[in-house]
Amino acid sequence: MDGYDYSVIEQSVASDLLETTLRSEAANLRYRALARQRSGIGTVPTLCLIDAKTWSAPPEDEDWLLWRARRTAARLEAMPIALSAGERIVGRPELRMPTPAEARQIEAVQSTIDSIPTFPGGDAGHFHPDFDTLFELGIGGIRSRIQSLQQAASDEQETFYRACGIAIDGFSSYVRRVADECDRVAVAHGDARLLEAAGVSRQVAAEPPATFHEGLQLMFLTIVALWFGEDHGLTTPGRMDQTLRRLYEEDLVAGRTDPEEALELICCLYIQLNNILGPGSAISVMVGGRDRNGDDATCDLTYLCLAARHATRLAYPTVGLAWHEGTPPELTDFACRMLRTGVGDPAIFNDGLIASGLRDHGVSEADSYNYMNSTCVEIKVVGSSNIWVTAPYFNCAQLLLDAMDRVADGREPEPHDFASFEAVVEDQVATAVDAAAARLDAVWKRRSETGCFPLGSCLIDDCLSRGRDFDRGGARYNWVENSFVGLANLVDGLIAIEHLVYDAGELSLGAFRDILRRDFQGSEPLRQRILNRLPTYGNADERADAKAAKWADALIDITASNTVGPHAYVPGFFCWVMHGRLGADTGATPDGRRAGAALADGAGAAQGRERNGPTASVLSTTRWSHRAALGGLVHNVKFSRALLDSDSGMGALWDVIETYLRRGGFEIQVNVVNADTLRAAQANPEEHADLLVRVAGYSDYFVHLDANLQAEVIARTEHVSA
Amino acid sequence: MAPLTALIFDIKKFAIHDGPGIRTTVFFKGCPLACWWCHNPEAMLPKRELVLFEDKCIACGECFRVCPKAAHEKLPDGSRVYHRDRCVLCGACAEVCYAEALVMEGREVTVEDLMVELRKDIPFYENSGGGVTLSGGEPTLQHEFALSLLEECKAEGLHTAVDTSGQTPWRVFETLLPYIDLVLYDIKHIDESNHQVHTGSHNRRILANLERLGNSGTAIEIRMPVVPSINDTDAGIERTARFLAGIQGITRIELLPYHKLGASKYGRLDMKYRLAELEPPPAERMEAIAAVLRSHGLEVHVGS
Repeated sequence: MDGYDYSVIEQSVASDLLETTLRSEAANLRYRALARQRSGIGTVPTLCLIDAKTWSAPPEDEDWLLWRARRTAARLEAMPIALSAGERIVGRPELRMPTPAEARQIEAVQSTIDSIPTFPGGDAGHFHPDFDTLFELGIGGIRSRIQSLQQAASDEQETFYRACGIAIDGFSSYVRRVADECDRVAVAHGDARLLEAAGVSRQVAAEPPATFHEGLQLMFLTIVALWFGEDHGLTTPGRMDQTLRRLYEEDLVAGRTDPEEALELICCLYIQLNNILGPGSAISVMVGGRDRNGDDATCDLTYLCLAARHATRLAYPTVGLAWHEGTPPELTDFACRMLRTGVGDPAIFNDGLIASGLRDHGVSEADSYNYMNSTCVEIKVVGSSNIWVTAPYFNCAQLLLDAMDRVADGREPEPHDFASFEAVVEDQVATAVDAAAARLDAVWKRRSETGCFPLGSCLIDDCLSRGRDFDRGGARYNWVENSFVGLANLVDGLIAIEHLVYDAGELSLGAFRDILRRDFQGSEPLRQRILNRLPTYGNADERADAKAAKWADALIDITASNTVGPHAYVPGFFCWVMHGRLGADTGATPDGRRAGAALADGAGAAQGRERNGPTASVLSTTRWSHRAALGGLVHNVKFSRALLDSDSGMGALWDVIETYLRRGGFEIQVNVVNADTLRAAQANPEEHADLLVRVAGYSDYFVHLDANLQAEVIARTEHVSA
Repeated sequence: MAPLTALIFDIKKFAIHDGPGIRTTVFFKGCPLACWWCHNPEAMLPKRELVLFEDKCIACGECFRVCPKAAHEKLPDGSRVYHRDRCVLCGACAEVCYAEALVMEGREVTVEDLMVELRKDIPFYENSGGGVTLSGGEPTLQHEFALSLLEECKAEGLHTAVDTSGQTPWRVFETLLPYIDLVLYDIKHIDESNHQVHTGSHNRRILANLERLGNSGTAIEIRMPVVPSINDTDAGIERTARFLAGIQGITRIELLPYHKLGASKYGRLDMKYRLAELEPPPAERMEAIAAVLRSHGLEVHVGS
């Protein structure tokens, strides 16, 4: 920027943004998106018919990459477009269940579809295109760039550029079709919004966007083209407050827009994301942080992107905030006020730590600030990386049980001391991680031989300048990230084994394993003793925290000692919904967890084991270094709404967050608890033992209160949130 | 010489209503008063007590086995009864009650035991301007220990607050004051005979100590429970306001509406709760009382 401060949002009115309600047209669109989320999103039934058609008519000896480009173009040229009255961000594909006629057509071409070589696997989604370049050059500018690069290309590069040209032409034709379709429907229904959207779309079919509205529209159409044209699911808007800032500020200066109008347009984009993705997944936006020069990037759009999340309150997108020492206190205050509403966002990311972690992996300084959470917390470099995430989720609790089995079943000699048993566990983990790395490496090699993504390659640096596909070394940064689920269960379980089997000598490892196989049936006092008397991770107890640090370091080292593709394997510690899914299939564990119960839901204490409040749990989680954990790391903290209704409570909320970040915490997310959660805690106290509520002049754990008091707190919570 | 110890019943981390910032509060056991509305009845007796949480019992039967005095009795219908009169507070039952249905309230700690816990949260005190609060019960009842703990906290640069009923000899306060940054001082009733009835003690020393405390230059935050029909008459509030307006050093007054959230604790201790029928004061009444105090130039905050 030129140093002039274009921001028009007075800090004093920033909090009013959280009072914003949608205008009736947008509210109606939101309502329809919500209804679609509930009834099911469906698919584009005709996509496989289009694929079959392109596959059944391949020219002789056509290169695989060229076929992929033709397929993408064919999809974008034929994919049906859905429009709703009053839409301002347009061009979503028509998603629905196939009609009986389509079902018959699909059945008829099934053998052709089956003959298409399957995608080798690995990650192609969670995609972060380079919106900066796209907004600067426009689709037409990228097309011209491909053409000029083609002039001096080698044979192999020539094929690649040809494929890119076909794909980007397909993208352009989709944008034009959206404009035409908008025109047609707008005229038929006299819909001024759609008429405006038609003009906006037509403008960006080739030219770079010239207004904020055009930028947002091109952003959405890019997401749709990558997602449905080339199977890059979960393509995200990314760091919207930076990529769209120039367009927004030019509009402001020219008097073409104001914050209220910009907020509505952002809301329209957010609503559309809920029309293309069914429930249970994630799409992310990240704001704040720093620009390529390392300067704070906060601007009006930072607040507007957050406020739009609050105004729409739909499943998607989540909006994260990158915090660094130069983040304005007005922004963190705004974030806390937003958290208090219970919307759950923003999660706060540690910008300094993540940028350092990226530089450890050879990312340039300018690029190290331009990262984001790919969906949940997995880190990717925006616009220039081919990074696979959560590949795979490892179940730490099951690995501990497997190690116990090896001893109990006699496959391993009885360890003579605890250190020897830990070595068995470490070997079990290493075997699983090494095997996964070898599998992924084979997939990476297969993909790098063929290359699959001509459209994606147009939007990821440095594919075009290198003349190489995204999968064939075109992307600037290439690696694979995993995630360990249930670190706390592993740590607490090891503490129980060390104490009961090796220190006290009360049980043999085999006897303990038998008790677990019986899900602690007949051993409830033992289970209670493990839960209530042994040190547990998450309570600032050095005995437990030192063990967690040792094991976290071990998991990081085991991961990093492997190479997947061209780069060291990168560890992570978060779970999305996998703590529930993996936990459902995991038997009772030595930490006192019953069979089928969820595993720990992040890098901190297991559910219900945090007994000393949020400060202690922050100290425990930050006992070990998160810098290597680019695969993502979550620290959860829960506050009751009533606690945050006092100034001292709000101040303390940020103090906890900031202390966590200053101690090197990677990411922290705040749950503000409502009455439903409290009722769930009443029904299942063990899993909610860490739920802190403001009782009366003091805070206490909800499950410690007796039934009458719980009822009173619930009544009060409902009153407060009403 | 054996190290100095104190009897405490809790250490609460992330305390955000006991002085500025994020604090860690140490709750001392034993109190010279016995207020009818007390929400921490386990703080009253200056000795250990056994507390029962019936809903946590897993019926393992260990308490019947280990009790040397048959204080735990199993009735023919399978239910259990605890004879507090037979109990010698040996703690054997709580030791084996892993489900924590039987808990010994009160434990002996040394200054160093506490410092280990208090130091852990220094990063939070520093970030929030918080520190350590001594509460209870009445922390000045164990004044030798309190002095030693406060000295150690100040030696390590921690902000200190003491939450007191004021019912303690002035010479005790005098020795502690150099190590206290903020006093949280309870005013329960301005009227002497009413104070006697509802707290078991007169208030002459409490009021006199507050005047002296004001003259000492210490920062004071007043805490006033508002208990309907007991200490909230218009005349009483007006008298309290006039008294407080004459005290130096008061930074603000925290009005605490009566609540009965502590009522259930009485049953677990086999104690009788006398205010079972009393309802909390309405918010408008709290604001009206705050307005009276404010009209005397006092800074008032209505708590919850």
